[in-house]
Amino acid sequence: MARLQWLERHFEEMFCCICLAVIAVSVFCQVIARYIFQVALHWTEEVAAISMVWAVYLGAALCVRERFHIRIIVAVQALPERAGRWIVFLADVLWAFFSLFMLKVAWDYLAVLWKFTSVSPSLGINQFYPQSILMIGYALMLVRLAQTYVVWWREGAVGIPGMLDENLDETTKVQDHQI
Amino acid sequence: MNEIAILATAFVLLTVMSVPLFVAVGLTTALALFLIDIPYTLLAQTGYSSLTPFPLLTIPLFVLAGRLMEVGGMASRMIAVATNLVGAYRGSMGLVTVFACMLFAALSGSGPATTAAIGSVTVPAMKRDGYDVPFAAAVTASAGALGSLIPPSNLMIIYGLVSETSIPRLFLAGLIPGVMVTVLLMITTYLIARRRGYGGGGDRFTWKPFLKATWEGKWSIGAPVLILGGIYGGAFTPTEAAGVAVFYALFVGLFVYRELTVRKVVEALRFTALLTGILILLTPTLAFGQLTAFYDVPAAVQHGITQITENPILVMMLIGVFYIFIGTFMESLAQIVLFTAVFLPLVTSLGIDPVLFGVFTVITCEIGFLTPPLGANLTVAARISGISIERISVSVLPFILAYVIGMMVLIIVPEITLFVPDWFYGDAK
Repeated sequence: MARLQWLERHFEEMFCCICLAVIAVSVFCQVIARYIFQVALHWTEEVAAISMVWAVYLGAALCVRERFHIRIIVAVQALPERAGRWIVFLADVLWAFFSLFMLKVAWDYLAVLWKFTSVSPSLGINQFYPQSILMIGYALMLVRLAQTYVVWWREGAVGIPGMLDENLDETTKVQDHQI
Repeated sequence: MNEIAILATAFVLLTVMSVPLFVAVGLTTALALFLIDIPYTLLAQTGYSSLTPFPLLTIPLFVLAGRLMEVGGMASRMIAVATNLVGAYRGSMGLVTVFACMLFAALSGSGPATTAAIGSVTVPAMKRDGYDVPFAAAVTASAGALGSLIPPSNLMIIYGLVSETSIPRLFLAGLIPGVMVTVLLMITTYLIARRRGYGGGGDRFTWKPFLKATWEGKWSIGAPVLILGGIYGGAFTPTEAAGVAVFYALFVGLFVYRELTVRKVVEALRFTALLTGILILLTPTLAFGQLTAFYDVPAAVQHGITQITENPILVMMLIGVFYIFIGTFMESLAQIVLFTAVFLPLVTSLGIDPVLFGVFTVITCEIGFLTPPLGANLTVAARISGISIERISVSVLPFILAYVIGMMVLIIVPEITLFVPDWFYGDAK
């Protein structure tokens, strides 16, 4: 049970970190291979690129839980709390709608890829599999979004779900870093 | 034109009501696809393909490398070198902060990360020296912003990808403006410190301790040499340089300084994971960019602005004012991704080099780092120094002035920026 709980908490994080490690290792391998073994590796760029897409989508799901996504909250903060809360609800509903929309679009797109198989240029794997992250990513985002609301409701429905602008400490944690 | 108005209204409305930016762009794009009657699968297609360009990998790799260097002890060596070089003058700790930030900026690509790395050591030191805390925080926040101007720079990579400009060229172009802004910041620090009579208790500059600190910090100073030397020596691409930097940081942190632990490495990976996630903003933006081109938005903007003036310097200033305004409440990543496609055709038609516009954009973003309500460096500096953002944002004003002066010089004398890349790679076009 504890293991399951850990997995629930760190699922995307774990796979995202693995993808990042894969990116670093393949790019480094490319350099090492060229300068030490005098060979040009073909697979590294593709492995790194696929890992990058996976890392971004998994990271995006992680950012939902941490409320790390870029959003302009100045206007909402200027409103009285009740009004601001309803606007954020509406914004999150639109977010959920967009995720559902992307799930549908990705489904159509992947159906085409499944029917007319194409293989990747250097690894020769079926393009369907790496691109399935589109659906996985948006599904995870949707789940995480719903989860923030469940948690918020259970904790007594105070403030804005998942948004930590009550005191400075927590806000700085959220907005601490940018690119 | 009518359709553009609908789309623009939808986008602004969604953004203002705090819909996450990638969703706002995505929904607007979907609406546009509906209006022009193009299949929605375009969104799925770009959702994958916009993240696969090889140069994009540079960003998570540099974020990771920078974090590893920060927690692995390189930042403190940089500070030691800076202390021995400029520690004797009036306002010494402030000057040390600026100088150390400049050094750290040459191995980190991020402004807020530089602020955190250097500031967490120098702000307490300045407090001990009796500095006014808001002043100490302001020096750190403004000098930390150098991280985005001095190569390598994550913002320049994003700009290079969006505008299809050569990233190594952009990096080189950031070099002289970076040094110029450093000097301006140091002058500002010195003047304020002299008026208020801060510090100056350090030892006079002598070669011996400086050389000793440099020698002890050789592994840290080696990092920028490896990264930048590798790129410009032609040994590797920026992406490969970032990959090498990660392993260099691991090697130095684990075996030379022995300050890295497995726990810290995992922590650095998790930190990078969060920042990688916000890159999802790029996925709908590519489709969005194709649509703005379809609607001829850049041409409309061009028409609108050239009616006011056709003087390149004035146009750049107008864009600068707009960027600084946007930057007060919008993250730099979003600012570059959304507006480059709109303004770049305009400025190139006036004969401005895209490389220059890139450096200019990054400087406006740095000012954005320093302006409330949303300024990443202010937030970091507030956390480090334990005072509110409001108090820092007043003290930071003279330093913003230094950046604005830097920006003006850049606009009026483009040769300062373009001289190095043109000399190294030959004239563009």
